[in-house]
Amino acid sequence: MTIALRAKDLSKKYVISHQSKQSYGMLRDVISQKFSDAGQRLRHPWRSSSNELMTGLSGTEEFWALKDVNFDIQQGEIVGIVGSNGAGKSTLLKILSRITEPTSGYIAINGKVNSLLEVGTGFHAELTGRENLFLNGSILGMSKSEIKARFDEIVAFAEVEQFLDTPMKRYSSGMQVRLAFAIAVHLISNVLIVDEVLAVGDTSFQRKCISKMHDFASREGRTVLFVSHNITLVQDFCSRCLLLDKGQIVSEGAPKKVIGEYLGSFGADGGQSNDLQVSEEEHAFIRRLSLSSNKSATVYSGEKMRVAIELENLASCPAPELELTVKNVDGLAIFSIRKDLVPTREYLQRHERGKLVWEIDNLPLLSGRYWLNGTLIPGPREAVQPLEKALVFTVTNPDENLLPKGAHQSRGLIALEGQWSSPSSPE
Amino acid sequence: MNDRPNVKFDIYFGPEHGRNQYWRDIWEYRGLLYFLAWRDILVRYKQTMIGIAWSLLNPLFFMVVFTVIFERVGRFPSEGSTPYPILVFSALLPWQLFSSALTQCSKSLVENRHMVSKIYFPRVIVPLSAVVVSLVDFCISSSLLVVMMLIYRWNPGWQIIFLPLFLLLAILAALSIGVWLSAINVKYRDFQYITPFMVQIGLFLSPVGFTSSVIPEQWRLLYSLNPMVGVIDGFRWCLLGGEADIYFPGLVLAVVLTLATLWFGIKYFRTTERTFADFI
Repeated sequence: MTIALRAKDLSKKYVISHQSKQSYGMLRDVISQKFSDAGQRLRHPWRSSSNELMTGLSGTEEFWALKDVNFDIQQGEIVGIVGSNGAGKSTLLKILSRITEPTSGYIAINGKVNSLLEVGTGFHAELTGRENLFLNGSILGMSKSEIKARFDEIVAFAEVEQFLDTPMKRYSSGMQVRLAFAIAVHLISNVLIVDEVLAVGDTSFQRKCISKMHDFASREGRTVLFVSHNITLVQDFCSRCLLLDKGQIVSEGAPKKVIGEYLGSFGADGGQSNDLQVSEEEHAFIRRLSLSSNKSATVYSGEKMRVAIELENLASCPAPELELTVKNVDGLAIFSIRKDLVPTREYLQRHERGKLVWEIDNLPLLSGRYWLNGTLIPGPREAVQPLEKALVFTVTNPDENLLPKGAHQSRGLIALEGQWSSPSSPE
Repeated sequence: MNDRPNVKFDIYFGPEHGRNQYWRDIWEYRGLLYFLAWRDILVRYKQTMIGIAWSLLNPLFFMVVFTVIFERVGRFPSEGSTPYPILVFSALLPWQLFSSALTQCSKSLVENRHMVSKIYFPRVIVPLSAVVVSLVDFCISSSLLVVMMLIYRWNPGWQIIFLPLFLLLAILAALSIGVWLSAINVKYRDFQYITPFMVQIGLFLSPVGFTSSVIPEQWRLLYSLNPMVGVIDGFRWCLLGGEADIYFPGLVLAVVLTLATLWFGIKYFRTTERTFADFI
């Protein structure tokens, strides 16, 4: 076995400025800062150019997104990376795909590495599907002849034959995503790094993509590194898992074991998803998802369940929609419900931390542990990735009288009532 | 650095690793350079029907204005027997190549921030492709000069074979400053307002509407600190059949200055590019 990828003592430090939301600066700020520092020094010449003065004025703070991360990945492995929001998954992927440099440590790769942190990077709405295919392929590191050689295969896989010469702006978001994926899975690379992008696109197409990647991994010895909130996918396709928490690897090994620990770590959360630490610029996002009824993340079968969702920057989306999905620990979706946010957008925008609440009077779930996934879909034609947020909650059943009469307490996933009758017999 | 020296990897990436594969990497991504330039050209000419017309009208307009102001009103002398419009146009061509390459270059990274934050590729490809786009515009507007030479029955001399050298100098001059500006723009977003200002002032500091022979002899070397002086003089020398003189000390100064700026520009770019994604 040869090592395909090695991370050695990886650390990444970010300096967060409390003053501005943007990561980039303004020269005028730097200049005015210098002048005000000079002014301070003139007025207080006896005070040494103190550091506390600087930090007090500019208000920055260091934040270690990753700290001393070490791992080796063998060739042909499919490795899943799990962890809650802010655990450092995205930072790790950005370093592994060489988008940003670690503050210390290094990564080493054997062969060619390709990363897919977003579908359709570089797609241009004015260009046709064919033109975008070549452009995106070359952005992802394919040469013109490689793209040509795989052109028909990609087009067939994406199922966009008839629309090859149509400008991208006329494509549905589904078509854009399919084309983007088709290009990505046909990349010629030894190491493929895939972020949560698989959250978009319809489920059957997702499966198709993943089994294609799986094929590559098993037949051609390609290594795949894969980050997803979808723990079913991670469990089904990965041969090994890494659990990241607060920038460190806290567990690694068989997917089942690691995912179990991951879910276990949610227990102390008190029915809330972690707050987003770093603001995601001007994009819309779900700040927080919480079970507002109680603090223990426990709800009762047959009783009321109340979910509060805090949304931010909705004004940036053309037609935002929110989707709540409840899944069991195996990742099987039990039900899913959508809400068009356009009518309530203004209200949510006006109020600081405007909350949206979803309530159900008699929760039909049987006892067990469940995921609640919130997804913010920016708009129907946006090919951007939806923003997800998840929390784990426990359902218990203290009183069987709360369940519909005759419903089994543990068999199946939900308890439904329905009516019994025997129409053949006279009343 | 490596704890197990027996394991050898193809790519290293870290603050103390992987500096030696820089140029090889750019070479491997040369296809992207072509595709990015091709995209920008395609989009421009698709969106606006006047895309091509613009690269013709713009220099034509400046030529008329400069001819009227400098020749008719200002009574500036031409070079020998050269028709004034050709004198102006032979300078406008390199100037517009320089100014558009510089402008596009300096904002290129910020405009492509989406790609920079999501995909790895040698970042220098982006400003380079901006220069390629300007070069295509240059080729289109050059056709106007050919038409004008036919109209004025003006034959350029043998000196024209040296034109590619001055074209290269113009490109390098734009790139040398553009590489700096593109990297600075990533960190300080308000720096982008400086570029249009520089370009506007530069047009009047360069001998576009007049010949550099009107500059007093003792100021010539100082004047040549503007690298476009050497480029424009060179273009005129090539296109006007030797009617214009090249001021050699100035040209040497321009070449040295350009190469030095480019060298330090690339150096600065390389030290900052690995964390562009954190700021952009």
